[in-house]
Amino acid sequence: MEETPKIPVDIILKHLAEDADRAQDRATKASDILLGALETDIATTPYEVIYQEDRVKLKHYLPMREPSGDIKTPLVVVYALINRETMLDLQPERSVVRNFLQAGIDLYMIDWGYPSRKDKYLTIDDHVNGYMDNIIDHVRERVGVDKVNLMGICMGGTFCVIYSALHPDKVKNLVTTVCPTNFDTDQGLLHIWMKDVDADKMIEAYGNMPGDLMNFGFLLLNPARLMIDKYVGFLENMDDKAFVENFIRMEKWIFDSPDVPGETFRQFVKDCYQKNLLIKSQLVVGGKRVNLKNLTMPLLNIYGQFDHLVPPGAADKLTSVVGSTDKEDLCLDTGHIGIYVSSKTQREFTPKILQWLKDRDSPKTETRVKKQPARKTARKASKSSWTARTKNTKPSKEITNA
Amino acid sequence: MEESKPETTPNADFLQPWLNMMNQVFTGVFSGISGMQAGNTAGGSGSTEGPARPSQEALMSIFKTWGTLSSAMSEPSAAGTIAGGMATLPDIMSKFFQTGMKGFLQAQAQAAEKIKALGKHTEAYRFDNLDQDGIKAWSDFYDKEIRQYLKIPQLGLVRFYQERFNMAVDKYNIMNAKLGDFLQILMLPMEKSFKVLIEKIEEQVRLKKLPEDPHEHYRMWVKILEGHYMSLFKSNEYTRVMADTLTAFEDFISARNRIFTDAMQSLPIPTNKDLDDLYDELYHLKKRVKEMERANKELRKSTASGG
Repeated sequence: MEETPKIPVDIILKHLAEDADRAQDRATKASDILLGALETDIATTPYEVIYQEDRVKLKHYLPMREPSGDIKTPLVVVYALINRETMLDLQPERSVVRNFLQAGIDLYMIDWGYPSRKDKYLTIDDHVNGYMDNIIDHVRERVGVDKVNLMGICMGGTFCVIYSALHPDKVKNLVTTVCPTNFDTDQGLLHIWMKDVDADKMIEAYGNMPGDLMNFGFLLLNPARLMIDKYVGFLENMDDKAFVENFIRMEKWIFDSPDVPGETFRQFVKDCYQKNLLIKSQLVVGGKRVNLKNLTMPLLNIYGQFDHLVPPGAADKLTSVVGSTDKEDLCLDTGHIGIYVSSKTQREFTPKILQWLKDRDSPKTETRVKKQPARKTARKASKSSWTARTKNTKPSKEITNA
Repeated sequence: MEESKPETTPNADFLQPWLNMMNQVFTGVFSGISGMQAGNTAGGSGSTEGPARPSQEALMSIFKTWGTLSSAMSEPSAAGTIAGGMATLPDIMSKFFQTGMKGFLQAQAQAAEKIKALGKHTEAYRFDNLDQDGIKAWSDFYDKEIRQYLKIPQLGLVRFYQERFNMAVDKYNIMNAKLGDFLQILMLPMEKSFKVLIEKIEEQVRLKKLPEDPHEHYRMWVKILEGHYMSLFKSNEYTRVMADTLTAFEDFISARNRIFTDAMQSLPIPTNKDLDDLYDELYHLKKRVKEMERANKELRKSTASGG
């Protein structure tokens, strides 16, 4: 006769008792950790500010080794106007900046600063054809090169795409990472919500788009994970000093949100999110049409399969509309922030970029690079429901706030 | 021929002597003041002869006027007229009172009608969803009963300020109502997820398959919650409520900014609008300077290269 299953009450109670013991033990250790000295500084890699215009600064990272002969062209990294570029240098062991420096790259990064009310009139044109162009000219003159390698992150990637289309003569290789270019997708909630946003009213009320309001919006994209589970995870691991330090570093970064200049926000929402002009080569910046066919330089386009801010559908169309024949898509098995900070992706992301640049930059190998159609070097993100894919994306003990 | 006797009124008997008496009193006071002034002028050591002080002059002129008026009024014919007028006073007072009372009763009746109408405008509470109806009831109540008072046209010199203030109060209330809606819709997945979790636990109990690790239930709940949130966030209802809430926030902030601007205008500090105008000018000036710098640089380059 088949035995009827029983509720293992004794085992459940035993586990509960063990949990209570562990919680007490954890609380004691946690108080020692939280009251003790913690190393939570971010962006510690040394740099010097070599150019400044208004609030915008150009950081030049001090080399960690002799310049590499493989990649001579300086790399200029353009971060988004949302959050801060410090994300690329959150902690020494997981720093994209350090990885680049250790490979001998001459690295420059734009720090957009904190816009104030006086910056509310700045448009995309002012950022791209103004600040970015001046910075790139400065680097070109300083290093003595005609072209730079350009790497854009998120909205900074969109700026890089616009810049490269308007100034193709100044960009040698273009790397876009988690970069939204196609805004007509229902894969990400941001893209759905932005359709109904009244940008004019917002800017009339706020002047600049408040960073805290945007952060609140980002938290609402997945409140169960970002507002509950994340902090439960913190409570469960707060007896682990390294975990606490990393967690606080991430908190420091994620809530360090500059406002976005009003006019730039208005144009980005209306022309990109609502009219989707960029991917159609119909966007006009500074009186000039941004024709993506002008993107004739080699292009590496990297995005995250589980990115909830810039879902694959928003990123993977770019390579099919540019003029370049040397183009490549790389879809990594991670999210929007994980692509830069998860240790698993660190082993894939930076080495890929380094190798790709090396293949196109090194005098020895430059001529060997064949023009080829866009390749997908990771499995193409499926078109199935985006929500289904956001599950189980958090590696154990690894902080991925977004 | 019999001399026609002036018509007497019941009040004429006491009115005429009273007016005479008052006339004498004021004439006495007036002559007293005049005498005091004359004495001061004549014998006051160190005092210089000169015109009366303006305050004294004004006082004397009031007394003179009263003296003249009371003399005139104490004439038998005039006193009769006044007394006649006084006889009609109770009628006038009664009329005033009646009109006032009527207006008051009308206002009261209107208020009573309004209070009675409250229940008609708002839906009856449904106890299966008390919270939702509570917010909706308040929202309806505000919209139909209170809001109209904030929209009463304002009059006079400060009408614009009062209007802007009322608008800010109105927008504040609307923002609160919309925020209530938004928070409520945001809490729905919580409620639903607990319901589903309980069902799942009941199922586990029924099948006697309760997990040994109590954390398993937390993980299950977070997964359910996440699923519910995703469904909610993709719904048109959520998008609409979110857009309405954002709009209400923006409307309130704009209205609040306008009354801040009004308040700051009286202070010796620039308002946001002043600064925005200035920043706008600066922005365009800087842009022009940068363009000129760029053109200058290009020119120097081409000159240097002999172009």
